[in-house]
Amino acid sequence: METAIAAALGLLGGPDPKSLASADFGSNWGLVIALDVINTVVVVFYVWRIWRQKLPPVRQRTQ
Amino acid sequence: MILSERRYQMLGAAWLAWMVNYIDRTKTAVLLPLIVASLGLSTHQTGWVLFSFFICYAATQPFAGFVTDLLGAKKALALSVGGFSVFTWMMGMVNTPDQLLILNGLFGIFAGFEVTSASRLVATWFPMRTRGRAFAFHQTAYTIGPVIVPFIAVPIAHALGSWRWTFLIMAFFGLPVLALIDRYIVDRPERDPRISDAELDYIFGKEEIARKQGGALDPARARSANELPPGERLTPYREIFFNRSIALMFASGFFCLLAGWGLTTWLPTYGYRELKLPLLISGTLASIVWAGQFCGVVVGGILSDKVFGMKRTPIWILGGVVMAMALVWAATFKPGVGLPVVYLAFFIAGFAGSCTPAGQLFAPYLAELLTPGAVGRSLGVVVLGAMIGSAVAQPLTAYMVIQTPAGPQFWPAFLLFAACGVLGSACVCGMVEPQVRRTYLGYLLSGGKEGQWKPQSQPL
Repeated sequence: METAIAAALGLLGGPDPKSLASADFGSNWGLVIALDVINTVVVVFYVWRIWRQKLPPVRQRTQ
Repeated sequence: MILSERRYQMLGAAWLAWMVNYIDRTKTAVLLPLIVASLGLSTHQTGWVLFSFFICYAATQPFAGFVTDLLGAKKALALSVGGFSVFTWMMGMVNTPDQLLILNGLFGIFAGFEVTSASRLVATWFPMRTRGRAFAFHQTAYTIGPVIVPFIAVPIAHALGSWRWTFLIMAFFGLPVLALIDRYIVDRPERDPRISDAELDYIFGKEEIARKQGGALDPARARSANELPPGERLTPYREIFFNRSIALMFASGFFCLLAGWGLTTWLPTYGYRELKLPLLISGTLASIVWAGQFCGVVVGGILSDKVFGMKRTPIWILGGVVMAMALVWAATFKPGVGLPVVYLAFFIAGFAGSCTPAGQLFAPYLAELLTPGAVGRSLGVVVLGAMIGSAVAQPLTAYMVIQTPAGPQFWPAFLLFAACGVLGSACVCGMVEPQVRRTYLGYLLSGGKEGQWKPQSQPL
């Protein structure tokens, strides 16, 4: 059992990362966070907008 | 002007969504060498990260199909594009392998909502006589996406110094698609305030529109003919899930995608290690298969609509058999074989491999076997089978390759893929072809006589 748990933790955890996201982005870290926030806000806006739309009624013919 | 027609605007938006989906999902594989170095992934962990996408994508399919039919394809499509956009940038921020594994799985769940929703939209918006070609156009996106993604993902990573920038920038690709979905997609033509009378007549026919004016979005929930919208018929759940043709399509999808993904994933390794081709040339072998698939998707749609009179299963029967012949041919190749010969064999394999129930025409077929409004959940079942095939393709192919002192031998894997092609075609031979009311094989053997098959619930 302990071996299985250790194996699972090994699979999930793995060795220490060689580079962290904040280190990779360096001085652009603030810009990256801002872009991520903008991306998420736009996505949430559109998904919310589309999900709250009601299906229009069946269209009546014009002639 | 073709672009003023609402159904083409809808198709364009759905095509772009499918294209961005494929670009987003294949970027991870393209950037994998950089990710492995950055996060210190072991081979074992890399395999699990890739597997998490496939298994989550597969497991999502039946649920995605229900959501699509129950709540509408537009909502499911927006959820898909929004979800995989957010998880794309999140994957660019990971610090550990376990974070990447979990996020790739979540990415797979949201990416999995795309195929059922877009397929149902095409099935609903296009009349039967042009449905094959319309869906063929839609499916070209999955053949183009993987080819262009290295030219997008790698230059961004090189120019900005990290694979993380590619994820961050590509997360924005989904935003214009969301705007297009919001602007151009409506779940059903007769509910679209901007559609013209002429286009409605073209899609459904005047008689059908006059006869059916119901408001049910999901035909499986309609209790009477009065609740049905045009183009639909009553389709109870039992007709969807206790259906021989759907079960055989599930099996055929499993075999065909096992062969397709096994082939495209392992071809560069085969070219480099067995045929001793230069690395760059080996990499182009998979591109040749994708090029063949692009041509196969287009030609298959045209042939089905124009030559085979809207029959879908003949294309699939031919596809699996021809793919098998091309792969048996490829199994005989030895180092030193001419490059044009290798290209030709794998182009044919790709071309024919796309002419299978997992590659094309599946939305038109399900719409005609059941009803367009049931394409979501029935396709969820079929794609589940196909994705299980793609998930097992990698370890199974690895197991089939023989290691020798002179290098690996791939011929057993190619023969396995060929057998999958034949089995895929055999499954299709047992499926009902709605246009002739029997299996297509039975139709041929009887000298062209139509059969007695009819839907469990009569067309209204």
